[in-house]
Amino acid sequence: MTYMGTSPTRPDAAAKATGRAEYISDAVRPGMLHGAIRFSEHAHARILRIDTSKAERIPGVRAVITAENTPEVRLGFLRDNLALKKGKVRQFRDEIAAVAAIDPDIAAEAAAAIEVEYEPLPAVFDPIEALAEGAPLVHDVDPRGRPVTSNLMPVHFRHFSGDVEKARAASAYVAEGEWSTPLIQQTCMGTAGCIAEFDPQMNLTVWAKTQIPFLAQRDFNGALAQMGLRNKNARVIVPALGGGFGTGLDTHCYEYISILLAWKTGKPVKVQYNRDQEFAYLSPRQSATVRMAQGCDRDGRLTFRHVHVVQDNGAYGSWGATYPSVMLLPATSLYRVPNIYFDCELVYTNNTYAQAMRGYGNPELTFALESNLDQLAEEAGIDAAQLRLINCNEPNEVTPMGLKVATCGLRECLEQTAERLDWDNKRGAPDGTARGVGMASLIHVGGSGRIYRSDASGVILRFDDWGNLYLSSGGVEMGQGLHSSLQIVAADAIGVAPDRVFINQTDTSTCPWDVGTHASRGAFTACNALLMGATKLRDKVFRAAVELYPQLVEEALRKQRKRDPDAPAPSFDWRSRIDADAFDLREGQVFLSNTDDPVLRVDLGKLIRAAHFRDGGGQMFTVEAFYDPPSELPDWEQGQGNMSACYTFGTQGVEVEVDTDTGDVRILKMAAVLDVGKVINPQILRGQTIGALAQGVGYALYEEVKTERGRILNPNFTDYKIPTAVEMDFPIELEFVETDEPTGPYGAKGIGEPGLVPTAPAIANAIADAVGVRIHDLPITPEKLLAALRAKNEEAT
Amino acid sequence: MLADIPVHRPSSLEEALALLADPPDGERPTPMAGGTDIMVVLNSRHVVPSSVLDLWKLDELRGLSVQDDGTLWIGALSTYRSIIASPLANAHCPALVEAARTVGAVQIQSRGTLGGNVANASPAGDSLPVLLAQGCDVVLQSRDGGRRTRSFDGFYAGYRQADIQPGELIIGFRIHALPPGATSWYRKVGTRLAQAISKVVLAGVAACGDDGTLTTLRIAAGSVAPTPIRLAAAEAAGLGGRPTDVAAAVGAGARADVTPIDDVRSNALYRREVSGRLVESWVRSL
Repeated sequence: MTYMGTSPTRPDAAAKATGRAEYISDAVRPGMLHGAIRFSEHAHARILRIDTSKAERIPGVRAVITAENTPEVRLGFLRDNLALKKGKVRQFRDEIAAVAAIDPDIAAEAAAAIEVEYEPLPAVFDPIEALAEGAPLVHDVDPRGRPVTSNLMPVHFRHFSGDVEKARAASAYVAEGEWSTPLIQQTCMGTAGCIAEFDPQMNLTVWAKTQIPFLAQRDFNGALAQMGLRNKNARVIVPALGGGFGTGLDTHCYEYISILLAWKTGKPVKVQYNRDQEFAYLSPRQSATVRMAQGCDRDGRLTFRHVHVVQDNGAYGSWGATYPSVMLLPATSLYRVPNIYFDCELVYTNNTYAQAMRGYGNPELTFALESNLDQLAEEAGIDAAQLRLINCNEPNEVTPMGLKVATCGLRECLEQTAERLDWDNKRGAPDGTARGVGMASLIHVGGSGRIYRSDASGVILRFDDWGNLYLSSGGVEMGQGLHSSLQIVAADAIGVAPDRVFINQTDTSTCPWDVGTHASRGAFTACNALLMGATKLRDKVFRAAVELYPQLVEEALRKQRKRDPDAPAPSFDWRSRIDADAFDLREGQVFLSNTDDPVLRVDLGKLIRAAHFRDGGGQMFTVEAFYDPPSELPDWEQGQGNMSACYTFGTQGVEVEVDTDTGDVRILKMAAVLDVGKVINPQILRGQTIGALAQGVGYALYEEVKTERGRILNPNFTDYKIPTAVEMDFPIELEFVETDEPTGPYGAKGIGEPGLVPTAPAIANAIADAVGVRIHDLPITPEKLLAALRAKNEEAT
Repeated sequence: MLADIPVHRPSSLEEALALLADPPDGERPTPMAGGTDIMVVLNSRHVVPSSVLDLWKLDELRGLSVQDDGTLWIGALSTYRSIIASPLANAHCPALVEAARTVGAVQIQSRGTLGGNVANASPAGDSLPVLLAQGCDVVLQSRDGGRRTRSFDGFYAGYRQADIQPGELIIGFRIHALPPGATSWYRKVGTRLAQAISKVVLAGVAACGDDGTLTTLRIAAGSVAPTPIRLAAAEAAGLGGRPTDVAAAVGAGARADVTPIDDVRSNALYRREVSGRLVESWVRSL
């Protein structure tokens, strides 16, 4: 292994550092028009009248569309959303009409000139109130027009194992409570946008900021059918992405609107959100409330875990509504618990509809679970790190959900975190300061997550005549470094230098199918497919070498003798060793595996050209491979099934100091120890993990999309704060535990999301250790902390 | 479009005042110094001025100097960076240097000006409590009215109402000398450590006599009332007492002085409580 574990310059580095990478905001098509959308001004209202006449008269406007003059396009995995709303609006930001114009300002002016008359309807913004009898119904009919009687989404995720009530009664100690997490924005550096363009045959191309190009193709083809364009195809091209973080897991109304505008005008149409629009009109992460109880026996062994989740999805369902599919992982399988109850209610409200974000339900659930575990430790009088070690997951165990955990470095993660925090000296120390330490752990899918029938990833590998490798993967590079991982694994697995590996930007017309870059699966699945393809490609090369290597070596030897008649003959009888299995390929040279004699090393390009141009039929060197991980699609009603090929574990520890005058929390130090299976590129892994920690710090301390009766109050970076370098200016000790996962490419597990999963509970636990108060709802703002400190002092006096 | 808003770029104060007194297109242009407030407003399209008077070229409004009477002169167009870098500001008004360091990021500090902060009249303006606590006169000028000097105390009649008459520009500030032996203090509490609008911003000047009792106590606060305010009850509770004896009473006074509101950044309870606690802690440390 030459390149695994090293950090060659990533292929997209120079273009991104010099501003040459082409993001969707840079993309322009000839004759392109600009789209603008008119959004709802009510959280819940009947649309009585839409008057577009003023907008249509504005010079430069090419089309104004509403649900009245376009075909109905349904979207969402529950088909509960319409690209342009008909009859009523269910949230602020519902799309009512749209304009295509020759420039963005004219489009915006025209969108504002559309007159809409509403009849406001009673609305509901709290998921608990939404479940009460007589609550206003967000959807009064289902997509097929059948009446609906409740705001509950028709999606179920449950798990019951053992006998929770009996175990609770028998527990020596029990702790319970309720925790909640806010709506937060993904805050991608690159804001959302797309271009839709029809060719003269009415086939569609969409440049889309997506993480699921092939599911998007399916969705867009569905839209074409709904528009009456039968037997037409959508091609999806993914430009450089300035971050995805889950925002690209669904197709969005603005994409269908640009398709409808392009269809209406016959021109390419771009819809591009700026930062304010991204905040106001792009779906944030779900908010959730988790009731959690756990118990243990006298020795600290966990006896049961009882979990009930209420999740506010807002007005429509996105894939993010299926967060509980991932919540099941920590709920059933983080630490060893024999008796488990997990149930959830997914609720429609008139809030902004939410979507996926990094961690996908796991941070929400883990915040409650790990906070509650510290309470239980306190209840039982057992050190919180010790309690976790007593119940630690171990290698080769099957969890109550049926997760087959092969490799598991959790014990080492816990021990190293405690050591790096100086846990034994600092935890609970009554040192007169408001300093404290806390920790929390995680389990996450490490070998992709099967939430769809196929969990596969394809790869096409092709050598050109000069031995350059062209790699087409369906996986999306969105800044996380997938292309670097592919280069490194390709270089080692195939035997070419990393900079000879050229990776196509994802395009459904040239790249093979992939379910999407989510669930921390990009490198895991794409590199596994690549390894399968690498074997095929090398085999193809070596079979050609059996035939062509002798003549190429003879030629080299002839040339050598010509230059230097006294050159020694090869040190062994290479002719007798010719066999497809005896060849090797390294750094673009083909040779017999038992020699380093330079004259016996044949340039790969030369061999390929010889194969290409040989008499009697040449040959190409192209192979494909398709990898579908060894996992099961769980039965969600039962919460049973091995949804991933392997599992990632980790622990994070935090030391904080609380300013008791202001309630400000200052992080003094963080330690993050992750079982990553194997490190592919240490520089990118560090970057990705530190980025995740920063997102976790934002989730814990700063971030919240604030709303008032469904209206977003802080749709901008002035009032929505994410951590800057100043807030992250503390020592971070990162450690990667290498457990060498057998299903992983060269032993690696997926690691895209996990970094942020346990950050918030680790911080909450450290704050509780520092000042003795526990905040149950994120973010832990100074306002909440100071109020809790006051209440505690009043109680004491 | 923003690019369509006419911008006047005078190269002298005289020319600028003439443009304000006698606007070429009839409507008086909106003065812009560093643009760090007005560009944000323009970007959100909340207010679109008919035209803009770009003051950036008026070098005569830049610079710091110490006057014969011991006051520190700061030209209105002096940026936060220039204040941070100025040995005079560090010696004569250290709290202002601290305030300047908390403003935005380096780019904002390099564009934002003291005159702009005062003219913008936000109750959350980072520098304003310092000017109130240490004492300061504002010097304004117009073509027809000449120069006018007034105290910064009372400069704001109400929320975002600065005493700037039509045709006037702020020329600069005379910051009063600190009393002998006085110390000054500044504290900003934002929504995060850096690049954040304040939730509470406090400044103070204090001096003790030979007997250890407070002979000077001036405290001002921002983001806790419609305008930056002096904390009169807090000051009264502390003057004449020993800091450790009166700290709690000063804190209680501060809680009574402020009239904060709930908004998207914080809530009234927090602002009141933090004002009290921080003032108390500061007085205790004197």
